[in-house]
Amino acid sequence: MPALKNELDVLDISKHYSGVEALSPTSLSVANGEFVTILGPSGCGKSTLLRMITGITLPSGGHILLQGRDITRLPPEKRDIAIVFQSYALFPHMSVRNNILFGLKMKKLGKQEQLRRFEHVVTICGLGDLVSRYPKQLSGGQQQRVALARALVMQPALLLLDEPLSNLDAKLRESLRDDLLALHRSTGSTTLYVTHDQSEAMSMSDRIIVMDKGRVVESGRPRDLYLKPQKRFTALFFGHTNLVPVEAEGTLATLPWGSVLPLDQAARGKGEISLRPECISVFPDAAGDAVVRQVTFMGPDIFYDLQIGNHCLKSRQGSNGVPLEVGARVNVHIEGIATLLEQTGSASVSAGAAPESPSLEGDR
Amino acid sequence: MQRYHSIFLSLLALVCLLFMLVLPIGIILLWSVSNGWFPPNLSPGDYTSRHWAMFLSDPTLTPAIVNSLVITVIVTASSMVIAMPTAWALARFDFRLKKIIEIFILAPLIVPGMVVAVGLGRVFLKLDLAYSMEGVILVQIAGVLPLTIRILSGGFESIPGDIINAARTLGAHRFAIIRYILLPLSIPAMLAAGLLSFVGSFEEFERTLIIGAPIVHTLTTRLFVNLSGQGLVIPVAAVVSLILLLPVLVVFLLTSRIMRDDVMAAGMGKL
Repeated sequence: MPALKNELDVLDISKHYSGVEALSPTSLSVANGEFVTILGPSGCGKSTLLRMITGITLPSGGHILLQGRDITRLPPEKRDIAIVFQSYALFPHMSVRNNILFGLKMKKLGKQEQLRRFEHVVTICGLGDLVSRYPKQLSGGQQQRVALARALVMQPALLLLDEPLSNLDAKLRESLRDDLLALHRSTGSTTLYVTHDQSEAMSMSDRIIVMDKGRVVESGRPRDLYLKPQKRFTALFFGHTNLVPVEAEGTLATLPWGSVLPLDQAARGKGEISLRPECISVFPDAAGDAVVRQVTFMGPDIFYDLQIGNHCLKSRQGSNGVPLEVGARVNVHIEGIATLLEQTGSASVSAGAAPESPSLEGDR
Repeated sequence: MQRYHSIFLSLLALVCLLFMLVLPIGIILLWSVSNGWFPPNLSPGDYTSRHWAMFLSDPTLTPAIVNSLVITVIVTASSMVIAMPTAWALARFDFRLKKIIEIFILAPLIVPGMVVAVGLGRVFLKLDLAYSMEGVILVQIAGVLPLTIRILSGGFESIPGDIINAARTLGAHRFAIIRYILLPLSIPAMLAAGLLSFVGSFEEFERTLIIGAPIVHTLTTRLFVNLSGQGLVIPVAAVVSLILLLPVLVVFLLTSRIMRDDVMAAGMGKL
């Protein structure tokens, strides 16, 4: 085995449940201090993967290495991994103090060290005046912070977060997202975060691993995955997009209505590209080749559904300025460099997808 | 508006309590000390302690009480011990034929105790268990087990798996999980199961009578004997009911005191 300097290495791990494959052989790694997110729709195998890393579920095949040591068959209590569950899983019969101290007592740490670590996490998680309360006397956000403190106090080699924000309301989610990130920066903990929320993933992660149907679709930095997705699934999963069929010739792609876009790699033949709505700007022009079909006001943004030839396009503009009317003729300008999508990617995502041209319907 | 609503509800509860508990018990109390009570009088005309004296001076009563207590305690303890693993398995694991096993466990609740006792009576005779404490204990355990298993497995089921998983990732070994997580979280269910099997065993009549009597008498069978014979004598019946009510009342008061404890309440709170 070559020396690996990653904190966590998952090598070809897989899981079958009575013949049904829940997770295809999957590999991933998390470097020391890195914040990595596994992103995917529910049932994509991300929770199974997380449970195998904690040791709650045993894998059907493959290996898990923590700091280079094989922990595949080690029970959870012997791994140096802490987890925050979606349900928080606080011990209801223990006070906040005893919840946080539980792990340290189990590890039989010295009283002094216990107290030192306890004081530290209580401070950084802002639990000062809550320590003698019981979980049911806390709000959702407070419970979430206790669960986080209980995990952080262990100073684990790896911190796992299983959709820790999904049970909270939108406003609280955003503020806790910032808290989580600040905490990650101050503790430098190596973190593996699991979520189905693409905006959470993008705003928090150093790196995102996109999963679907029990396998990794694509991984990379948030910006790259959003702007230059390689797979159709990734393009559709991150917010709104326009999937447009193109004809590639060298480093140029011709769009169905005749515009030409530069490609990041030379290619040839038919293909498909993802155009983000904010990369499409519109200018009122009585002789323009596109027509505004629908206007949706979203606060900071306005979405325009455009028809150009027999294709539909979604454009996103800032909401300052005079909005266009339905039926207005416009000129379309597309910025940026396009990436051809790999055709092997699954096309199962429909939520959040932009309206597509009739010619694409057949692909579904 | 809200306030009047809750006051009305509490009044209603009080009235129900009066009618369903205090009134009948009060009437029984009066009957047990009455020396003749005839309509249309609303209270007995004459009082006597004769019925109580008759029972309390009965020399067969003390051994029956001792028998009852010994049997009840053993039945409660053993049914809990026997029910625990079964309940745990039913609550925590998925296995083939689980539904069928659940039905088998509940089936004794449907079959009348008399039928079971008569059937078992012959078997117990052959096994030399009839007319013995062991026999009565066995037949009573068989009677209370379905309920005990049911209540315990309900309690175990309500402990979320993630709590156990969380404890494991925090370094808790099997024993520590039982000691610090499962046991404290199961206390309400165990109390409820223990209480019901205690009451069930103490008041058990049919099985005990067929297997135990006339050699082994519990308080219940012993007192019921007083009711047979020359028709129902109401003051005697009143004394019998009051004596039988006593231990049940004591147990309920004890548990309600424990249940009111703060830590306990937190443990019983929504998980």
